[in-house]
Amino acid sequence: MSSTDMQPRSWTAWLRGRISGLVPPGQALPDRQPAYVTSWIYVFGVITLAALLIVLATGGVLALGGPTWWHVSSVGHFANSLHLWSAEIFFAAMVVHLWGKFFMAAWRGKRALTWITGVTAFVGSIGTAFTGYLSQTNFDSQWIGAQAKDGLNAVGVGAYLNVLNPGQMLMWHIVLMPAVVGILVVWHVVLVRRHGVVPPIDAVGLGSPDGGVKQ
Amino acid sequence: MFNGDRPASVAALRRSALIGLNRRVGDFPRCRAGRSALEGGRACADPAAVDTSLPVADPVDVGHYVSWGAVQISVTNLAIVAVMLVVFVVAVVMPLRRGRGPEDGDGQR
Repeated sequence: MSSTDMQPRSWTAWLRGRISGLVPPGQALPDRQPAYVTSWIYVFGVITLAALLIVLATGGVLALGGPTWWHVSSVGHFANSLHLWSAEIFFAAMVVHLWGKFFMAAWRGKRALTWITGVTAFVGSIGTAFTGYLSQTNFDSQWIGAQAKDGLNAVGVGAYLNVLNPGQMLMWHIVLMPAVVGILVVWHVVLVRRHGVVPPIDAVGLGSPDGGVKQ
Repeated sequence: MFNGDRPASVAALRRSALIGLNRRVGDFPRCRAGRSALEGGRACADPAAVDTSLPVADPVDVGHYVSWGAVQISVTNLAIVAVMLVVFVVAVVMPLRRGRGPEDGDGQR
């Protein structure tokens, strides 16, 4: 009897096998990287992730007090400022990360899905930020909503995405969009760990799992 | 700017303040002592008690923009894009400090 035949036939065993097989052994949280990763351009992905964690944490603090609490609380002002500036850093680092990967042709070596999930997460983040600006409960959010409604109505989505409905925008901002972006980011990071960090163009055999394959 | 003007009433000042939509709560007029009505305090009963020396956003000042055909961008955003491009170039060119031992046989460190 083979070892696979001895696996218990249950959904938990199936799921355990799928999770443990997501990334090669030792690649989930590695302590060694290919030599070419010793470059500042490889730092911006992890800066983006760190900023995203701060965005999520400060967003959780703001959610505790409700949509208008931050206007009348010094702690709320501080949490709101951290939320804003971590989102700014998140976007700036993500764009530099995207530039770096674009000029590196990071879709090489069977990494097309890694590239696609990253770009889709970027687009989803824009939607998350947009609904966030609409959830500030101030004149700024009213102004942005009033300006955006015409554009969204013009493309025919105004009935489903009503930017003049602050309740709907808040729910999109704190539930739907974070779920979409969160799933995409986790998927993206798993793919990076699965296929390894993309090597620079013409860097063959420098410790990449695929030997720096050029495609 | 209308900082130096003294409106006839709190209502008039509030109306003039509402013209500029893009402002923070702290920008609204307030009594010399205490918080503004928008911050949970009471409006000044005496219009003369309104402290007009505090900064109020200028509704006429619409910012500075650079236009190039159909493309228009604020100077602030243009500066941020320029800084991001500089950061990108520096990140590509500037070496990262190497540490944590030599490479192994697989080219990893």
